[in-house]
Amino acid sequence: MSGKGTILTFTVNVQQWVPGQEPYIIAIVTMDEQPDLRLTALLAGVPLDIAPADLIGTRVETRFLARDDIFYPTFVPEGAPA
Amino acid sequence: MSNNPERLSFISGVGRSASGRRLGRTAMDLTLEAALEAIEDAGLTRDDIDGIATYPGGDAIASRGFGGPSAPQVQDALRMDLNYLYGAAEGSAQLGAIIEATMAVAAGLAKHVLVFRTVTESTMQGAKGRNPGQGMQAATGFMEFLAPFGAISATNWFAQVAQLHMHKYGTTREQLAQIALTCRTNAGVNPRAVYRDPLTMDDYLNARMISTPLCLLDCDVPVDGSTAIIISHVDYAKDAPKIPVHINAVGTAQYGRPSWDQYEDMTSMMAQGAAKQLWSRTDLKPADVDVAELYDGFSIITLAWLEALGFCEQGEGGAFIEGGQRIARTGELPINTHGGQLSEGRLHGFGFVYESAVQLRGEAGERQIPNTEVAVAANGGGPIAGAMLLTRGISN
Repeated sequence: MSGKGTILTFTVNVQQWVPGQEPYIIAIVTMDEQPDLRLTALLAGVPLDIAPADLIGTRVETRFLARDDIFYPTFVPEGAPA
Repeated sequence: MSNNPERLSFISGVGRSASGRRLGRTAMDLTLEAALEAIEDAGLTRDDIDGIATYPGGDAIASRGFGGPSAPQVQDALRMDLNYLYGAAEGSAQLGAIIEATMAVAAGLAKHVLVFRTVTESTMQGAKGRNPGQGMQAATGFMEFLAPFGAISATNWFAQVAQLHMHKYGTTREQLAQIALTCRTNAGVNPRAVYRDPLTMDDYLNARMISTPLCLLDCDVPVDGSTAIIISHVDYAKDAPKIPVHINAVGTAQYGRPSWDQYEDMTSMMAQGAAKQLWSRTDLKPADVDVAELYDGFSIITLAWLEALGFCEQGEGGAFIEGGQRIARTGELPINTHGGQLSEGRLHGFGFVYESAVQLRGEAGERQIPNTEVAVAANGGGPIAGAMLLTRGISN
Protein backbone atom coordinates (compact mmCIF):
# COMPACT_ATOMS: atom_id res chain seq x y z
CA MET A 1 0.00 0.00 0.00
CA SER A 2 1.06 3.56 -0.66
CA GLY A 3 0.12 4.72 2.84
CA LYS A 4 -1.89 7.52 1.29
CA GLY A 5 -5.50 8.33 1.88
CA THR A 6 -8.18 10.92 2.61
CA ILE A 7 -9.58 12.17 5.91
CA LEU A 8 -13.19 11.00 6.36
CA THR A 9 -13.71 12.57 9.79
CA PHE A 10 -11.71 13.55 12.86
CA THR A 11 -11.82 14.80 16.42
CA VAL A 12 -9.56 16.91 18.60
CA ASN A 13 -9.21 15.07 21.88
CA VAL A 14 -9.04 17.64 24.66
CA GLN A 15 -9.77 15.54 27.74
CA GLN A 16 -6.63 14.60 29.68
CA TRP A 17 -6.98 10.81 29.97
CA VAL A 18 -3.50 10.89 31.45
CA PRO A 19 -2.59 13.91 33.63
CA GLY A 20 -0.79 16.61 31.66
CA GLN A 21 -1.73 15.16 28.27
CA GLU A 22 -1.79 17.75 25.48
CA PRO A 23 -4.73 17.91 23.02
CA TYR A 24 -4.27 15.81 19.91
CA ILE A 25 -6.10 14.99 16.68
CA ILE A 26 -7.48 11.57 15.82
CA ALA A 27 -8.69 10.96 12.27
CA ILE A 28 -10.42 8.20 10.36
CA VAL A 29 -8.60 7.89 7.04
CA THR A 30 -9.93 6.19 3.93
CA MET A 31 -7.06 4.39 2.19
CA ASP A 32 -6.45 4.96 -1.53
CA GLU A 33 -6.16 1.31 -2.52
CA GLN A 34 -9.41 0.22 -0.89
CA PRO A 35 -12.06 2.88 -0.34
CA ASP A 36 -13.97 0.81 2.23
CA LEU A 37 -10.83 0.28 4.33
CA ARG A 38 -10.31 2.93 6.98
CA LEU A 39 -7.65 3.49 9.61
CA THR A 40 -8.14 5.35 12.85
CA ALA A 41 -4.87 7.10 13.64
CA LEU A 42 -3.19 10.16 15.09
CA LEU A 43 -2.88 13.14 12.78
CA ALA A 44 0.07 15.55 13.04
CA GLY A 45 1.14 18.66 11.16
CA VAL A 46 -2.26 20.35 11.42
CA PRO A 47 -3.28 23.18 13.79
CA LEU A 48 -5.65 22.05 16.53
CA ASP A 49 -8.12 24.83 15.75
CA ILE A 50 -8.46 23.97 12.06
CA ALA A 51 -12.00 24.29 10.73
CA PRO A 52 -13.60 20.90 10.04
CA ALA A 53 -14.39 21.93 6.47
CA ASP A 54 -10.68 22.57 5.90
CA LEU A 55 -9.61 19.18 7.23
CA ILE A 56 -12.27 16.67 6.13
CA GLY A 57 -11.31 15.50 2.65
CA THR A 58 -7.64 16.45 3.11
CA ARG A 59 -5.10 14.15 1.46
CA VAL A 60 -2.72 12.53 3.95
CA GLU A 61 0.23 10.14 4.02
CA THR A 62 1.65 7.81 6.62
CA ARG A 63 4.45 8.59 9.07
CA PHE A 64 5.47 5.85 11.44
CA LEU A 65 5.87 6.84 15.05
CA ALA A 66 8.28 4.75 17.13
CA ARG A 67 7.34 4.35 20.77
CA ASP A 68 8.50 1.60 23.12
CA ASP A 69 9.84 -0.45 20.19
CA ILE A 70 6.45 -0.36 18.48
CA PHE A 71 5.90 1.48 15.20
CA TYR A 72 2.49 3.13 15.01
CA PRO A 73 1.11 4.42 11.72
CA THR A 74 0.13 8.08 11.99
CA PHE A 75 -0.82 10.56 9.30
CA VAL A 76 0.36 13.98 8.14
CA PRO A 77 -0.91 16.10 5.23
CA GLU A 78 0.44 14.80 1.93
CA GLY A 79 3.85 16.30 1.15
CA ALA A 80 4.45 17.55 4.70
CA PRO A 81 8.16 17.88 5.56
CA ALA A 82 9.66 14.79 7.18
CA MET B 1 -48.45 -9.08 12.04
CA SER B 2 -50.24 -10.28 15.16
CA ASN B 3 -48.37 -13.57 15.05
CA ASN B 4 -45.12 -11.93 16.18
CA PRO B 5 -43.95 -14.24 18.95
CA GLU B 6 -42.88 -11.25 21.05
CA ARG B 7 -46.59 -10.43 21.47
CA LEU B 8 -46.96 -13.58 23.59
CA SER B 9 -44.96 -11.71 26.24
CA PHE B 10 -45.49 -8.54 28.20
CA ILE B 11 -43.85 -6.48 30.91
CA SER B 12 -45.70 -7.35 34.10
CA GLY B 13 -43.43 -5.60 36.56
CA VAL B 14 -40.63 -3.08 36.85
CA GLY B 15 -38.35 -2.18 39.71
CA ARG B 16 -35.23 -0.23 40.46
CA SER B 17 -32.82 0.22 43.28
CA ALA B 18 -31.58 3.47 44.67
CA SER B 19 -29.41 5.10 42.04
CA GLY B 20 -26.82 7.82 42.22
CA ARG B 21 -23.19 8.76 42.44
CA ARG B 22 -20.85 6.57 44.50
CA LEU B 23 -23.42 4.79 46.61
CA GLY B 24 -20.73 2.43 47.87
CA ARG B 25 -23.10 -0.54 47.80
CA THR B 26 -22.35 -3.86 46.17
CA ALA B 27 -23.75 -4.79 42.78
CA MET B 28 -25.62 -7.75 44.32
CA ASP B 29 -27.19 -5.54 46.99
CA LEU B 30 -28.50 -3.12 44.35
CA THR B 31 -29.62 -5.97 42.10
CA LEU B 32 -31.70 -7.65 44.79
CA GLU B 33 -33.33 -4.36 45.74
CA ALA B 34 -34.44 -3.81 42.14
CA ALA B 35 -35.39 -7.47 41.57
CA LEU B 36 -37.58 -7.77 44.66
CA GLU B 37 -39.34 -4.50 43.83
CA ALA B 38 -40.04 -5.68 40.27
CA ILE B 39 -41.33 -9.07 41.43
CA GLU B 40 -43.71 -7.40 43.86
CA ASP B 41 -44.76 -4.86 41.22
CA ALA B 42 -45.71 -7.78 38.96
CA GLY B 43 -47.90 -9.26 41.69
CA LEU B 44 -45.61 -12.27 41.96
CA THR B 45 -43.39 -13.91 44.55
CA ARG B 46 -39.87 -15.15 44.02
CA ASP B 47 -41.26 -18.68 43.75
CA ASP B 48 -43.16 -17.62 40.62
CA ILE B 49 -39.97 -16.50 38.85
CA ASP B 50 -38.63 -19.33 36.72
CA GLY B 51 -36.13 -17.50 34.57
CA ILE B 52 -33.36 -14.89 34.91
CA ALA B 53 -31.69 -12.92 32.14
CA THR B 54 -29.12 -10.14 32.31
CA TYR B 55 -26.78 -7.95 30.33
CA PRO B 56 -23.80 -8.24 30.14
CA GLY B 57 -23.48 -11.30 32.35
CA GLY B 58 -20.15 -12.46 33.67
CA ASP B 59 -18.27 -11.20 36.68
CA ALA B 60 -19.22 -7.91 38.30
CA ILE B 61 -15.82 -7.17 39.82
CA ALA B 62 -13.80 -7.88 36.69
CA SER B 63 -16.05 -5.52 34.73
CA ARG B 64 -15.07 -2.50 36.87
CA GLY B 65 -18.69 -1.76 37.58
CA PHE B 66 -19.92 -2.07 34.00
CA GLY B 67 -21.84 -5.22 34.83
CA GLY B 68 -23.67 -6.64 37.83
CA PRO B 69 -23.83 -10.18 39.15
CA SER B 70 -24.31 -13.07 36.76
CA ALA B 71 -27.69 -14.75 36.34
CA PRO B 72 -26.60 -17.84 38.34
CA GLN B 73 -25.31 -15.63 41.17
CA VAL B 74 -28.74 -14.03 41.48
CA GLN B 75 -30.40 -17.44 41.20
CA ASP B 76 -28.28 -18.57 44.12
CA ALA B 77 -28.86 -15.44 46.19
CA LEU B 78 -32.62 -15.87 45.84
CA ARG B 79 -32.46 -19.70 46.11
CA MET B 80 -34.46 -20.25 42.96
CA ASP B 81 -35.16 -23.20 40.69
CA LEU B 82 -35.08 -21.89 37.15
CA ASN B 83 -36.23 -23.13 33.77
CA TYR B 84 -34.20 -20.54 31.89
CA LEU B 85 -31.02 -18.47 32.33
CA TYR B 86 -29.32 -16.01 30.00
CA GLY B 87 -26.44 -13.59 30.30
CA ALA B 88 -24.53 -12.09 27.38
CA ALA B 89 -23.19 -8.87 25.97
CA GLU B 90 -23.31 -9.82 22.30
CA GLY B 91 -27.06 -9.51 21.75
CA SER B 92 -29.05 -6.53 20.54
CA ALA B 93 -27.27 -4.07 22.78
CA GLN B 94 -28.45 -4.00 26.41
CA LEU B 95 -31.98 -4.77 25.22
CA GLY B 96 -30.72 -8.15 24.07
CA ALA B 97 -31.35 -9.59 27.54
CA ILE B 98 -34.94 -8.33 27.59
CA ILE B 99 -35.62 -9.52 24.05
CA GLU B 100 -34.13 -12.95 24.81
CA ALA B 101 -36.39 -13.22 27.85
CA THR B 102 -39.35 -12.16 25.72
CA MET B 103 -38.66 -14.92 23.22
CA ALA B 104 -37.96 -17.51 25.94
CA VAL B 105 -41.39 -16.83 27.44
CA ALA B 106 -42.99 -16.92 24.00
CA ALA B 107 -41.32 -20.27 23.34
CA GLY B 108 -42.63 -21.70 26.60
CA LEU B 109 -39.25 -22.08 28.26
CA ALA B 110 -40.33 -19.97 31.22
CA LYS B 111 -43.43 -18.18 32.51
CA HIS B 112 -41.94 -15.23 34.39
CA VAL B 113 -38.40 -14.05 33.68
CA LEU B 114 -36.56 -11.56 35.88
CA VAL B 115 -34.33 -9.41 33.67
CA PHE B 116 -31.87 -7.05 35.30
CA ARG B 117 -29.08 -4.64 34.49
CA THR B 118 -26.81 -3.40 37.28
CA VAL B 119 -24.02 -0.84 37.18
CA THR B 120 -21.62 0.31 39.87
CA GLU B 121 -19.43 2.38 37.57
CA SER B 122 -19.55 5.45 39.77
CA THR B 123 -18.25 3.69 42.86
CA MET B 124 -15.77 1.53 40.95
CA GLN B 125 -14.32 4.46 39.03
CA GLY B 126 -14.02 6.46 42.23
CA ALA B 127 -12.46 9.88 42.31
CA LYS B 128 -10.38 9.18 39.20
CA GLY B 129 -13.46 9.34 36.99
CA ARG B 130 -13.65 7.58 33.67
CA ASN B 131 -10.00 7.10 32.98
CA PRO B 132 -9.23 4.60 30.26
CA GLY B 133 -5.61 5.74 30.08
CA GLN B 134 -4.42 4.03 33.23
CA GLY B 135 -1.36 1.89 32.72
CA MET B 136 -0.05 0.06 29.66
CA GLN B 137 -1.71 -3.12 28.52
CA ALA B 138 -2.22 -4.87 25.22
CA ALA B 139 -5.29 -3.67 23.36
CA THR B 140 -7.53 -6.58 22.39
CA GLY B 141 -10.87 -7.18 20.74
CA PHE B 142 -12.52 -4.14 19.18
CA MET B 143 -9.97 -1.87 20.90
CA GLU B 144 -7.14 -3.41 18.90
CA PHE B 145 -7.32 -0.84 16.10
CA LEU B 146 -8.53 2.09 18.21
CA ALA B 147 -6.75 2.45 21.53
CA PRO B 148 -3.14 2.21 20.30
CA PHE B 149 -3.91 5.01 17.84
CA GLY B 150 -5.16 7.57 20.31
CA ALA B 151 -8.87 6.76 20.10
CA ILE B 152 -9.00 5.50 23.66
CA SER B 153 -12.44 6.69 24.75
CA ALA B 154 -15.93 6.12 23.39
CA THR B 155 -16.13 9.92 23.36
CA ASN B 156 -13.49 9.92 20.60
CA TRP B 157 -15.39 7.36 18.53
CA PHE B 158 -18.75 9.12 18.78
CA ALA B 159 -17.16 12.56 18.35
CA GLN B 160 -16.07 11.56 14.86
CA VAL B 161 -19.64 10.54 14.00
CA ALA B 162 -20.91 13.89 15.27
CA GLN B 163 -18.17 15.75 13.37
CA LEU B 164 -19.08 14.09 10.08
CA HIS B 165 -22.82 14.61 10.68
CA MET B 166 -22.17 18.31 11.21
CA HIS B 167 -19.89 18.55 8.17
CA LYS B 168 -22.15 16.66 5.78
CA TYR B 169 -25.56 17.91 6.89
CA GLY B 170 -24.82 21.26 8.52
CA THR B 171 -25.90 20.09 11.95
CA THR B 172 -24.84 22.62 14.59
CA ARG B 173 -23.74 22.38 18.21
CA GLU B 174 -26.73 24.55 19.10
CA GLN B 175 -29.00 21.90 17.57
CA LEU B 176 -27.23 18.98 19.23
CA ALA B 177 -27.44 20.85 22.54
CA GLN B 178 -31.19 20.31 22.54
CA ILE B 179 -30.68 16.65 23.49
CA ALA B 180 -28.81 17.62 26.65
CA LEU B 181 -31.08 20.58 27.43
CA THR B 182 -34.26 18.53 26.95
CA CYS B 183 -32.94 15.75 29.16
CA ARG B 184 -32.04 18.25 31.89
CA THR B 185 -35.46 19.89 31.75
CA ASN B 186 -37.11 16.47 32.11
CA ALA B 187 -34.76 15.47 34.93
CA GLY B 188 -35.92 18.58 36.77
CA VAL B 189 -39.23 16.83 37.45
CA ASN B 190 -37.70 13.41 38.14
CA PRO B 191 -36.81 13.09 41.83
CA ARG B 192 -34.44 10.20 41.03
CA ALA B 193 -32.31 12.13 38.56
CA VAL B 194 -28.70 12.91 39.45
CA TYR B 195 -28.56 16.31 37.70
CA ARG B 196 -31.71 18.40 38.13
CA ASP B 197 -30.51 22.00 38.05
CA PRO B 198 -31.67 23.91 34.96
CA LEU B 199 -29.25 24.08 32.05
CA THR B 200 -29.02 26.91 29.52
CA MET B 201 -27.65 27.07 26.00
CA ASP B 202 -24.80 29.22 27.34
CA ASP B 203 -23.99 26.52 29.91
CA TYR B 204 -23.80 24.00 27.08
CA LEU B 205 -21.71 26.12 24.72
CA ASN B 206 -19.29 27.03 27.53
CA ALA B 207 -18.95 23.51 28.90
CA ARG B 208 -15.54 21.88 28.87
CA MET B 209 -14.72 20.23 25.55
CA ILE B 210 -13.95 16.50 25.79
CA SER B 211 -13.40 15.53 22.16
CA THR B 212 -14.58 17.96 19.49
CA PRO B 213 -17.42 18.55 18.83
CA LEU B 214 -18.63 16.74 21.98
CA CYS B 215 -18.44 18.58 25.30
CA LEU B 216 -18.92 17.34 28.84
CA LEU B 217 -22.70 17.83 28.61
CA ASP B 218 -22.88 15.50 25.58
CA CYS B 219 -21.64 12.63 27.77
CA ASP B 220 -23.80 10.66 30.20
CA VAL B 221 -23.09 10.51 33.91
CA PRO B 222 -21.91 7.22 35.46
CA VAL B 223 -23.97 6.09 38.43
CA ASP B 224 -24.57 3.07 40.60
CA GLY B 225 -27.95 1.43 40.30
CA SER B 226 -29.96 -1.56 39.17
CA THR B 227 -33.05 -1.83 37.00
CA ALA B 228 -35.25 -4.93 36.87
CA ILE B 229 -38.00 -5.90 34.43
CA ILE B 230 -40.33 -8.90 34.73
CA ILE B 231 -41.30 -10.49 31.41
CA SER B 232 -44.40 -12.70 31.69
CA HIS B 233 -46.60 -14.68 29.32
CA VAL B 234 -49.73 -12.83 28.15
CA ASP B 235 -51.84 -15.52 29.83
CA TYR B 236 -50.91 -13.78 33.09
CA ALA B 237 -52.03 -10.31 31.93
CA LYS B 238 -55.59 -10.62 33.25
CA ASP B 239 -54.27 -11.45 36.74
CA ALA B 240 -51.44 -8.92 36.83
CA PRO B 241 -52.10 -6.01 39.21
CA LYS B 242 -50.69 -3.28 36.97
CA ILE B 243 -51.58 -2.17 33.45
CA PRO B 244 -49.84 -4.60 31.09
CA VAL B 245 -47.07 -3.18 28.92
CA HIS B 246 -47.25 -5.17 25.72
CA ILE B 247 -44.28 -5.93 23.51
CA ASN B 248 -45.57 -5.04 20.06
CA ALA B 249 -42.35 -5.54 18.10
CA VAL B 250 -38.61 -5.87 18.55
CA GLY B 251 -35.67 -4.90 16.38
CA THR B 252 -32.55 -7.01 16.69
CA ALA B 253 -30.95 -6.65 13.25
CA GLN B 254 -27.33 -5.65 12.79
CA TYR B 255 -26.65 -4.76 9.14
CA GLY B 256 -23.29 -3.70 7.79
CA ARG B 257 -19.90 -3.93 9.41
CA PRO B 258 -20.09 -4.10 13.23
CA SER B 259 -17.27 -1.64 13.74
CA TRP B 260 -16.60 1.78 15.25
CA ASP B 261 -14.82 3.07 12.15
CA GLN B 262 -15.69 0.75 9.24
CA TYR B 263 -19.51 1.17 9.28
CA GLU B 264 -20.40 2.37 5.81
CA ASP B 265 -22.39 5.49 6.73
CA MET B 266 -20.33 7.09 9.48
CA THR B 267 -23.01 9.74 10.04
CA SER B 268 -25.14 6.94 11.44
CA MET B 269 -24.93 3.69 13.36
CA MET B 270 -26.22 0.13 13.65
CA ALA B 271 -29.46 1.72 14.81
CA GLN B 272 -30.46 1.77 11.14
CA GLY B 273 -30.79 -2.02 10.88
CA ALA B 274 -32.54 -2.55 14.21
CA ALA B 275 -35.01 0.23 13.43
CA LYS B 276 -35.73 -1.12 9.96
CA GLN B 277 -36.51 -4.56 11.36
CA LEU B 278 -38.62 -3.11 14.17
CA TRP B 279 -40.97 -1.37 11.73
CA SER B 280 -41.11 -4.46 9.51
CA ARG B 281 -42.73 -6.34 12.40
CA THR B 282 -45.62 -4.00 13.13
CA ASP B 283 -48.45 -2.06 11.53
CA LEU B 284 -47.68 0.87 13.81
CA LYS B 285 -45.79 3.79 12.28
CA PRO B 286 -43.38 6.36 13.68
CA ALA B 287 -46.28 8.85 13.76
CA ASP B 288 -48.06 6.54 16.24
CA VAL B 289 -45.29 6.85 18.84
CA ASP B 290 -46.24 8.97 21.85
CA VAL B 291 -42.90 8.90 23.68
CA ALA B 292 -39.43 7.94 22.49
CA GLU B 293 -36.90 6.78 25.06
CA LEU B 294 -33.70 6.79 23.03
CA TYR B 295 -30.26 5.84 24.28
CA ASP B 296 -28.09 8.83 25.10
CA GLY B 297 -24.75 7.54 26.29
CA PHE B 298 -23.71 10.45 24.09
CA SER B 299 -26.11 13.02 22.66
CA ILE B 300 -25.26 12.13 19.05
CA ILE B 301 -26.60 8.61 19.62
CA THR B 302 -30.07 9.96 20.33
CA LEU B 303 -29.90 11.99 17.13
CA ALA B 304 -28.90 8.84 15.22
CA TRP B 305 -31.89 6.95 16.67
CA LEU B 306 -34.32 9.74 15.76
CA GLU B 307 -33.14 9.46 12.17
CA ALA B 308 -32.87 5.66 12.09
CA LEU B 309 -36.37 5.20 13.51
CA GLY B 310 -37.75 7.44 10.79
CA PHE B 311 -38.97 10.34 12.92
CA CYS B 312 -37.07 12.42 10.38
CA GLU B 313 -34.92 11.71 7.33
CA GLN B 314 -31.26 10.78 7.61
CA GLY B 315 -29.31 13.99 8.09
CA GLU B 316 -32.33 16.04 9.18
CA GLY B 317 -32.02 15.28 12.89
CA GLY B 318 -30.46 18.64 13.64
CA ALA B 319 -33.33 20.56 12.08
CA PHE B 320 -35.81 18.17 13.71
CA ILE B 321 -34.64 19.03 17.24
CA GLU B 322 -33.88 22.70 16.52
CA GLY B 323 -35.14 24.85 19.37
CA GLY B 324 -36.15 21.77 21.34
CA GLN B 325 -39.92 22.35 21.19
CA ARG B 326 -40.68 19.22 19.16
CA ILE B 327 -38.92 16.84 21.58
CA ALA B 328 -40.06 18.57 24.80
CA ARG B 329 -42.63 16.96 27.09
CA THR B 330 -45.21 19.26 25.53
CA GLY B 331 -44.01 18.60 21.98
CA GLU B 332 -45.14 16.18 19.30
CA LEU B 333 -42.45 13.64 20.19
CA PRO B 334 -41.30 13.82 23.81
CA ILE B 335 -37.93 12.10 24.26
CA ASN B 336 -36.11 10.78 27.31
CA THR B 337 -38.86 11.93 29.62
CA HIS B 338 -36.93 10.85 32.73
CA GLY B 339 -33.85 12.88 31.82
CA GLY B 340 -32.00 10.12 30.02
CA GLN B 341 -28.57 8.94 31.01
CA LEU B 342 -27.31 12.48 30.42
CA SER B 343 -29.16 13.78 33.47
CA GLU B 344 -30.91 10.94 35.31
CA GLY B 345 -27.83 8.76 35.23
CA ARG B 346 -26.24 5.98 33.26
CA LEU B 347 -28.33 2.96 34.22
CA HIS B 348 -27.11 1.80 30.82
CA GLY B 349 -30.03 0.99 28.62
CA PHE B 350 -32.62 -0.47 30.96
CA GLY B 351 -33.60 2.97 32.26
CA PHE B 352 -35.27 3.65 28.90
CA VAL B 353 -37.42 0.52 29.19
CA TYR B 354 -38.30 1.31 32.78
CA GLU B 355 -39.36 4.83 31.81
CA SER B 356 -41.35 3.51 28.82
CA ALA B 357 -43.29 1.18 31.12
CA VAL B 358 -43.92 3.89 33.69
CA GLN B 359 -45.17 6.30 31.01
CA LEU B 360 -47.43 3.68 29.39
CA ARG B 361 -48.97 2.83 32.77
CA GLY B 362 -49.51 6.50 33.57
CA GLU B 363 -47.34 6.32 36.68
CA ALA B 364 -44.79 8.99 35.78
CA GLY B 365 -46.16 11.65 38.10
CA GLU B 366 -45.13 15.21 37.31
CA ARG B 367 -43.34 14.15 34.12
CA GLN B 368 -46.24 12.02 32.80
CA ILE B 369 -47.05 12.50 29.10
CA PRO B 370 -50.86 12.40 28.87
CA ASN B 371 -52.52 9.58 26.93
CA THR B 372 -49.36 7.61 26.24
CA GLU B 373 -50.35 4.52 24.24
CA VAL B 374 -47.18 3.71 22.28
CA ALA B 375 -43.55 4.02 23.34
CA VAL B 376 -40.33 3.12 21.62
CA ALA B 377 -37.26 2.18 23.65
CA ALA B 378 -33.90 2.01 21.91
CA ASN B 379 -30.52 0.95 23.24
CA GLY B 380 -27.01 1.00 21.96
CA GLY B 381 -24.80 3.21 19.86
CA GLY B 382 -22.04 2.65 17.34
CA PRO B 383 -21.90 -1.01 16.30
CA ILE B 384 -24.58 -2.28 18.69
CA ALA B 385 -28.31 -1.65 18.60
CA GLY B 386 -31.66 -2.97 19.76
CA ALA B 387 -35.16 -1.52 19.84
CA MET B 388 -38.57 -2.37 21.29
CA LEU B 389 -42.01 -0.98 20.50
CA LEU B 390 -44.23 -1.09 23.57
CA THR B 391 -47.95 -0.45 23.97
CA ARG B 392 -50.33 0.21 26.82
CA GLY B 393 -52.44 -2.93 27.30
CA ILE B 394 -52.49 -6.17 25.36
CA SER B 395 -53.07 -5.28 21.71
CA ASN B 396 -53.73 -8.59 19.98
